[in-house]
Amino acid sequence: VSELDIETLLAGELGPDELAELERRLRADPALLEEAMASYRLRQLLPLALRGRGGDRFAEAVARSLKPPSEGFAMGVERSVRRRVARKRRRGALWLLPLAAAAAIAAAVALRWSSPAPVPVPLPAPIAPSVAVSADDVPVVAVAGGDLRQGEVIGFGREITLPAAASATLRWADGSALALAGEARLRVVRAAGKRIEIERGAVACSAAHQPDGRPFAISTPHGEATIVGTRFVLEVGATTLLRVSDGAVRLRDRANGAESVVHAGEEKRIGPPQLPYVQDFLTGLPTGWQLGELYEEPAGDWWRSVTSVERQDRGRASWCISSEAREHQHPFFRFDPRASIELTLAQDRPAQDLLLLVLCRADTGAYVANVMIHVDVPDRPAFQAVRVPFAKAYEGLDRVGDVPAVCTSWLLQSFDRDQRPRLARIAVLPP
Amino acid sequence: MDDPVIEAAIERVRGGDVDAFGEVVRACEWSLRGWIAARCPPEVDPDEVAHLAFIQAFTHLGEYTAGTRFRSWLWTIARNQLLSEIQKARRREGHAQYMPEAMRDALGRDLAEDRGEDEYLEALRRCVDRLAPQARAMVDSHYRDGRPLADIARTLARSVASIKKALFLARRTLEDCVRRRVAGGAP
Repeated sequence: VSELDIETLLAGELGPDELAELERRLRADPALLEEAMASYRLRQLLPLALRGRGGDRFAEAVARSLKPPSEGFAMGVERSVRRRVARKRRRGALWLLPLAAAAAIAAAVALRWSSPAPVPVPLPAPIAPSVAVSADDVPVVAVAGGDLRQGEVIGFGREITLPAAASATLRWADGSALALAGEARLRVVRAAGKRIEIERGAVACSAAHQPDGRPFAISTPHGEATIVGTRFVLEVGATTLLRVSDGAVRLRDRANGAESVVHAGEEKRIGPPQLPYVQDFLTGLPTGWQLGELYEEPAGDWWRSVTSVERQDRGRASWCISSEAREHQHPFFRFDPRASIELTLAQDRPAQDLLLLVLCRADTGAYVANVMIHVDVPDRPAFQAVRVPFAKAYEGLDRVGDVPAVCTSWLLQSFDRDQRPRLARIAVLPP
Repeated sequence: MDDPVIEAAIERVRGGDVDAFGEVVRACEWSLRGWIAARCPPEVDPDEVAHLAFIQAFTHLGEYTAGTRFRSWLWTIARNQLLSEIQKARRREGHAQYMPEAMRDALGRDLAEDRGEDEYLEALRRCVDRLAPQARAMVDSHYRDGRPLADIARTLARSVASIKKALFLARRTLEDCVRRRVAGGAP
């Protein structure tokens, strides 16, 4: 052992016979074992000694994970979510939106900086000769995904629908690239310059500098982003979120025509006001929600903290349902204690469900309170709307006060473990 | 920071000053990370365990009785957290392949000890400073910066085997140096 390199041992470079012999000798000779442990101890502590104290850096990393002690309930929920997401990631679940988006961004950046000079592509027949178009405004598929084949030319008007598990990248002749992920639905529009209309999904864009009068524009149901030469991510769901990592993007809000310039490191969200908030499961799960197995917290009494959503009963989600907004850093709605929440659900027998809202500050994102609301559901197997004012919350409301708060997570839970509430719709109604 | 100061910080956390927990973390992280690293099998990340232990401590701060040695309480949490992570890693990876069971058993026995690693770490830091410059550069590259051996070999225009050998010798030198320092026999 004295001549054994501990790294060689830990790297598994010894054969089975050598390992068996080593094991036998370590068991037989305490001094030898002590020597091996001393080598291991040094190997383990060396990085710490070289890097020095973690100090503020380590303390800040811990602080980012902390919630006030009274937030035990929400922490249990969030821990479940994190574990489930981590498990999915370990299984290589590509449909996970953030992961796909990250991969898409990497693909876009890689394309931007490392791909060979793009080859001009043939121009498809124009649909209407009202604007001057150029072959440079038609993208090709650089990275295949979904039904898109590598090298395929995406003509004007072509509608692209990408399933949740897929990602793809489009590239223009000037090197601009658009990586798509997360159930994206979009089309290339005939215009002077490059123009994409995206209905939903996430795109990461790396754009070359565009000539005057020929902008690169991406429109969403809520507005339009015009790019000069930059890298950014655009996520389109109930609202449109723009995050700019390089350069600047001009963003126009379709609702009021207001224009703003979003610079590198900034983000801006446009879309309908966050009240009322409606989440409808009748047509399936929205982007960012996940189907999955039920999850039970192994320790304590968290068996009810199921954080998955099942597709049952003709597409309605059932059992305990929770959002994963914190994972995506998207608040669901601005909290107004005068508003009400309406759940359209069904249960097989009378029950008192619990609705938990995790509230954070709208400006800083810091945790504010858990607001807990009892939802009395009468005995009706058919779907019915149950409305509860936030003012009837039995816990947490006093901690909100005048703080401008947003709901970042919500969870509906039945206290009857044999009963599975089926939720069709959740909505926040204005005062 | 001594224990009375930690106790004061804990009181402030209980009073609603969440940021005060940062003082507790700063006061204990070095010792705790060292203690965990020395008892941690190779498949578990010691800093992750320390991170989780601090979060557990914060979450259950209401259960800590003031003035009853916070460090011991924290170390107990860390010990349980480490055991939990080891079990999880075993479930995930199946039986360990790389570390002899005799060494794993020894790590398990060390878990019961509260002996800190502060003195060892300080001695190790001093010994590292006494390494020859080229050995120091290689040790820094691999153990501080996490660079793979092949990468270091390329940079230094040497073979991977020679880098491995050089690191092996550097560790031997450090082991001897630390042993002498901890025993009080060397400057």
